[in-house]
Amino acid sequence: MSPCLLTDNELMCSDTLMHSFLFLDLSTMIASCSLVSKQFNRVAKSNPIWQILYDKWMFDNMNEFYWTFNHEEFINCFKLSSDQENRENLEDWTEPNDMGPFYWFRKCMEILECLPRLDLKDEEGEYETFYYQLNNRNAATESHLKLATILAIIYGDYSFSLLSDSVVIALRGYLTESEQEIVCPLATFCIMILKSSYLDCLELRETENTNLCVAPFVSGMWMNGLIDVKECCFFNVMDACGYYNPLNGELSYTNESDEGGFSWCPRFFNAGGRYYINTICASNIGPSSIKVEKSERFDYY
Amino acid sequence: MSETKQVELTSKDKVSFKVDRDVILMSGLVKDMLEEGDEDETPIIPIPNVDSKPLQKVIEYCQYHHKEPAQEIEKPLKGKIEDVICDWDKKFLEIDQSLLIELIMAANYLNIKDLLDLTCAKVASMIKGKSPEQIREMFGIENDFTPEEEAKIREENKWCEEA
Repeated sequence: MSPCLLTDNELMCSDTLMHSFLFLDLSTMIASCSLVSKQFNRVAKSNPIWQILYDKWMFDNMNEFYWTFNHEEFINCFKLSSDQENRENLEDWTEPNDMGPFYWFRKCMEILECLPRLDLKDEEGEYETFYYQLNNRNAATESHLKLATILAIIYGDYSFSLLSDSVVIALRGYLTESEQEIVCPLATFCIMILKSSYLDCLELRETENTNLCVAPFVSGMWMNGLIDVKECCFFNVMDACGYYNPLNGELSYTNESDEGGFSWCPRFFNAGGRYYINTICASNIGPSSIKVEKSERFDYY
Repeated sequence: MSETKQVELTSKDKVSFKVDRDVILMSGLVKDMLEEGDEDETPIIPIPNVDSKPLQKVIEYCQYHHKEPAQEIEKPLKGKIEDVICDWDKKFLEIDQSLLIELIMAANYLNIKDLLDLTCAKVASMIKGKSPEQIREMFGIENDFTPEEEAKIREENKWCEEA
């Protein structure tokens, strides 16, 4: 084994080890560090480190968002929601007296548990189909269905990490070249969709000729000008429900699909500036399972 | 021309280093001690927690960076540390692992934030992308979990890893 300063199987002191961990991404800290030794586990899940990460993770780009919430308000906002499963998950968070050794770690994990994750399944069919899982036993709410739909659009069948990925939220014009963008942690974006009131925190404001849209953020693409290569989704118009009939090519608007799910016809644009519509249907298919189907695409100009 | 004021630091193994006062003021600990002492003398400051080898590296760091302030290192590191630090720092970090750990302890004790950031970021960079087994091997750490404890942690981490 390599030589190092070890006392009672401890590398450095916990304070300096903690300082080192602040330079790590969350995935490494959990998947690797927490399993190295008891000291590493204790430090990897300690309150100081996760409180900092929580702030960074959830409230990053403070100067770009008009966040007016503190931690407790944020949690209370969740608790007051109509999402019963969220309420149950988050019920015991807020009392300072409950703060245990891994309080902030658990807080972050419980937020993650509210968010859908891609559940890859091999399936061939007429439609592109994506499955998402929530970590609770209740049916997904409409906001969860909407979020799963957006994730299906912007990531397709590519996996994403709620711990480390970011998205670009942009204000883009139909008629002008001008655009504004901000980079936002994926988890924060997901919570914005689940709690639409958070959209008010965005500095970007829609106008008559501009819409908010979102695309995955790939590190480095910003400076390389590759942002337009990826499809973007105007997430603010996701509430425009509709159903595309491939037989007559007509689009009808309705709140619910025949399957009892929800359909959206979000508008997209691609690098060439061409707009098109996909019909997307998301539905509950069992306890905490969501199915999202994308129909054939048709273009319009 | 007035002579530059100096400070004498004495390491744990009783080696003395004379260093310019302006340079060593990068250390929060030394700065506090100097503020309490007499300005006219060349103070002798014992550093009982740091051996001469890491202390020499600390002085080397301060001599360079008191004129060339270090750039802040991103948290978390998105790539390797070598991508975000200057050439001088890269060369400075070409040291064996034992000295690196001693340097972290010294930077922490002497309260030199930039040096602590640099060395801790180096450790993070070494850990990044490694499995628990590789990290243990690299630092010579014993797995002190029982199989049951390890299984429990893996189960607790499951959702997080999937996310």
